[in-house]
Amino acid sequence: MMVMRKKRKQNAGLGNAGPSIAFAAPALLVYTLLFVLPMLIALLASTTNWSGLAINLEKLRFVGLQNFSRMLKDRALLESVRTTFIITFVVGVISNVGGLFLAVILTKKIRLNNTIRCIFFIPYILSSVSIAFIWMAILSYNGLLNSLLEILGFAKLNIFQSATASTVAICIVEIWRTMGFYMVLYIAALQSVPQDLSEAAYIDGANGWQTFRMIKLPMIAQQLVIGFIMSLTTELRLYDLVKILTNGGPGTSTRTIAYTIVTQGFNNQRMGYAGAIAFALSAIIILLTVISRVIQNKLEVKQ
Amino acid sequence: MKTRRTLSLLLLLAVLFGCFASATAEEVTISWAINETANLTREQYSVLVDEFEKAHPGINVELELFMNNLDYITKIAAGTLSDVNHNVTPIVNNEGVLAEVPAELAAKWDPSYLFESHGIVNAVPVSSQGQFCVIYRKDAFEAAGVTEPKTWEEFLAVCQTLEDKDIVPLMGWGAANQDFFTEAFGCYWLAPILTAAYENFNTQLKAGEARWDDEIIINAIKEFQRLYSEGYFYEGSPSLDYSSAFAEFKNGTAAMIMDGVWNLSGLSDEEYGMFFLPNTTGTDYHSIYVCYWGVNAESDNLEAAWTFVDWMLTGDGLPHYTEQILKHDAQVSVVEGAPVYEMDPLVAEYYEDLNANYTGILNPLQISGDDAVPTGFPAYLYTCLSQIFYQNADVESTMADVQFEYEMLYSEQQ
Repeated sequence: MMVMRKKRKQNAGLGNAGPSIAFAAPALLVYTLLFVLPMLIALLASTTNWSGLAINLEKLRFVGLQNFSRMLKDRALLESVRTTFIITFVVGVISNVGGLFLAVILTKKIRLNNTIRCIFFIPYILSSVSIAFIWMAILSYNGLLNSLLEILGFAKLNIFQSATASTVAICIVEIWRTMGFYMVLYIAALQSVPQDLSEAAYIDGANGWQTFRMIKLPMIAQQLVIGFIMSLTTELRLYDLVKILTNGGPGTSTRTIAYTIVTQGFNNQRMGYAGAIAFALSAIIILLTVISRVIQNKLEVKQ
Repeated sequence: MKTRRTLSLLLLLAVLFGCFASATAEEVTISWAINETANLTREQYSVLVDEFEKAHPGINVELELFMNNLDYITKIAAGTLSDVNHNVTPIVNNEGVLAEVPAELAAKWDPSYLFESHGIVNAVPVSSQGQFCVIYRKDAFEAAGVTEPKTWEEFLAVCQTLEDKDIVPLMGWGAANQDFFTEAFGCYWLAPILTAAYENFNTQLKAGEARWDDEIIINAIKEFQRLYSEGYFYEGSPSLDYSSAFAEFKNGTAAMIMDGVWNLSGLSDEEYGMFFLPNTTGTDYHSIYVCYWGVNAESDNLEAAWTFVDWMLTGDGLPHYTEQILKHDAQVSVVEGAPVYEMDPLVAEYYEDLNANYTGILNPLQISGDDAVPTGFPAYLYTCLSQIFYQNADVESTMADVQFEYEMLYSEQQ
């Protein structure tokens, strides 16, 4: 019996590793080939003057950190960093706060609850390219919005002539597109808060706002952090909406970091430099992800 | 008996298959990158393909759409460049991309027209085409009491007069095509100024004797920027793409549009007129664009591709190409003895004026060989011009950035 137990123990140790590795190996291989390897190649390319075309490989030169130091002097890039952070912050805050507000309302038992939830969520599942074209038709100078304003006797808005108005337009479209997702995230979070806590608070005389602020909000703090970090990492990579809605214009005023990466790599044929910018952006996103994990862990311990 | 019948049938099938296989083994398919526009439709190109295939059984031609210069870069990177490529100026200086033109084919052109890069002739000219002009609505000019301006100051005065009469002077475009507008400016308006001001701008640029932030360039750009800062452009222009802008102009939204000579085709000379936009220095240089074709150096069917090029541009296909393409796009073939087509009135007026009063020059940004600007530089310049025109950016500091970028790219690519 003791011998059998010992054997089972040994087999249990070996048995755990083998199947686990076998099941994880294909996914790990795909992950390595599609994520890790391209990142390493991009990092390598970022230390060269590569144009991005295989036929130019004989002119390839190692330039060290020149591409990275050049980023600090590139005014167009610094402008796109500023634009990206403005959009990221504004969209991040408003989408999450708005999503939370909608979630609080839609967790109550009201008529057409599910229908309203669907209406807010639908933009998130639409293609961002088609959304951009629709909004361009609405916001352009001869578009739907200005037609309505003209009918009502107001002056036309020249949104895409102004850098500020174009940035605001991008923010509005992104908020409209993503708020539904955060609403769903926070609905799930609010529904996981035990009902008896809210009832106990009610019995103790707390009103709705107090219950929300002192009980529900702390209970969903983890999900709030996740939501906010998700919106940051999404908006930092914003490209397709900008490309179609404003094409980075007027001039270069609404170019984002991702837009600059594509422009440098493909239009300007400077893949090495584009790789350096992409790597820097990835580093920022990884850093944010690490910070979110630290905060989440702390909140978990607290709870 | 049954076995014999089955074997006979199998033998027959094998023979038929063999004949078919051997027939298809002689057929090749080449791809041809084409540029579809409002004037040049797929149907027109298909007519040319049909004519070629009739004359060359065994060579099939597939049409592939060429959208813009960026297409070429992604296609080269992906290894999917077409066999025969249209308008190859953006990629002709990339060593190894385009095949060397066979000597007997190259001999059919004036050598000065051939494109040479890295020691080989790798592109052949298809046609030359005048660049931009100003198209205007005659009713708008009559209403404002203005005539065609001859100098830059007169042009500004015409714009102001139109504005005073509540007529929008100029139609522009932005949106997806804003770089095309600044490219047009760079090609059309700035290039003659550079050619007139410098003995050899590109060579002097390399030697450090000329700079992108030289006073003459900055002053010229500042003058052009006035068209924006004075509000002469239709305020909805940034929302419009190139096609929409031209449609708005024809609808009467603005009095003038700076546009390509290709859009003169089909316009009535009773309703519209054209003039050459004067520049600040009064030079009589005028940008000419020469369109080049090149064959993919990695093509599996080089011989078939060159046969296609030869037939279309110098052989029996040239009359068809003239009729289907050159005529509709106001282009002129550069092959000696090429057929001449009947030009629309405004197109004819343009070329008469060009030949009589101007000297055609190639845009310094499109020159090939040792004097070519670094790869990627034109795109950066157009971006900076976009900032100047659409964002009212400071000209001196922006052009200083352009010079910095030029020096960086030049040193990187040596």
